[in-house]
Amino acid sequence: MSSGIILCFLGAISFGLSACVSKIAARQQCNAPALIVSVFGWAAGLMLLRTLASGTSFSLPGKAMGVAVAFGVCAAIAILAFQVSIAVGKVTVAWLVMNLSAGLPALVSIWLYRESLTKMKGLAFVVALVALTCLFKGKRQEDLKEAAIGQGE
Amino acid sequence: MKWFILMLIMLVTNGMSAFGLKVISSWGLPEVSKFPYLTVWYAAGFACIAVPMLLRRTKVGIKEFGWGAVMAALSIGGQVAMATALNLKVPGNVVFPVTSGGAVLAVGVAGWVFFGERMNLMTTAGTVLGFLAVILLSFS
Repeated sequence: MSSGIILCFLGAISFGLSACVSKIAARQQCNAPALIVSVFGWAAGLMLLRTLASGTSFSLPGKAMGVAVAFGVCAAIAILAFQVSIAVGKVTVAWLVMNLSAGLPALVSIWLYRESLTKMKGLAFVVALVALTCLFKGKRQEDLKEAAIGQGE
Repeated sequence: MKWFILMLIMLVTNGMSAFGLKVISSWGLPEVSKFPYLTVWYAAGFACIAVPMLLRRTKVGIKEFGWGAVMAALSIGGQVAMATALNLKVPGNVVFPVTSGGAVLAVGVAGWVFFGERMNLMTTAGTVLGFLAVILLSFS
């Protein structure tokens, strides 16, 4: 159990570092689409090796293939938007928004699979909505302040 | 305005990107299908950005190639750590809040310490509430 908890923390650090590396790449003026192509290329290669190493055949039903393509495209667009956004905004906020997006599949599951809306889920959605409103208002205030400073100069 | 649009795109597309695993699990596909599924998932994402880049004749430089490898390794490393913790019988309601919440916290600290990101009161409130929401979402 304790080694499992350590792994959870290592996972958190690993994910957190990947966001920090994105920010470093943005500061080094990396081309965002080129960076994301590289990320997905490497990840596809590593996952292919993992598939082959597991000894299972590479068989996937046609409809599952279609789902993988559609949602893989969604992921690439999301990460590209993240990479572009951290060049103009804060990595902390963008990373938080990426994590808050987990609420959307939870909402779709409730609608599509008739999953129950527990009190915990309901509270999570309300808090997430308030958080997003605060983040958006905070960014608006920052922009207005910067514009005022710009006009003053 | 650009930032707000990017945030909305991220909310919708990133949220939906993980939903495919839920869809295929509802079809009762075997667990081993996850690996070829994720290979196609990454390859589709690769193609979706690579094709327009090819048409524009944009090249991947050494910097992008290197940082991309580091990002992919860290992302897969995180997934492997999470999956191993679950295999070690750590309950999901511990694994998901610790990894998601921990990563948000780690990025917040790194943003403040290493990237000099300072927040106004409203953004700070949003970050604290967002952190709480991420924990609640991973619990539920």
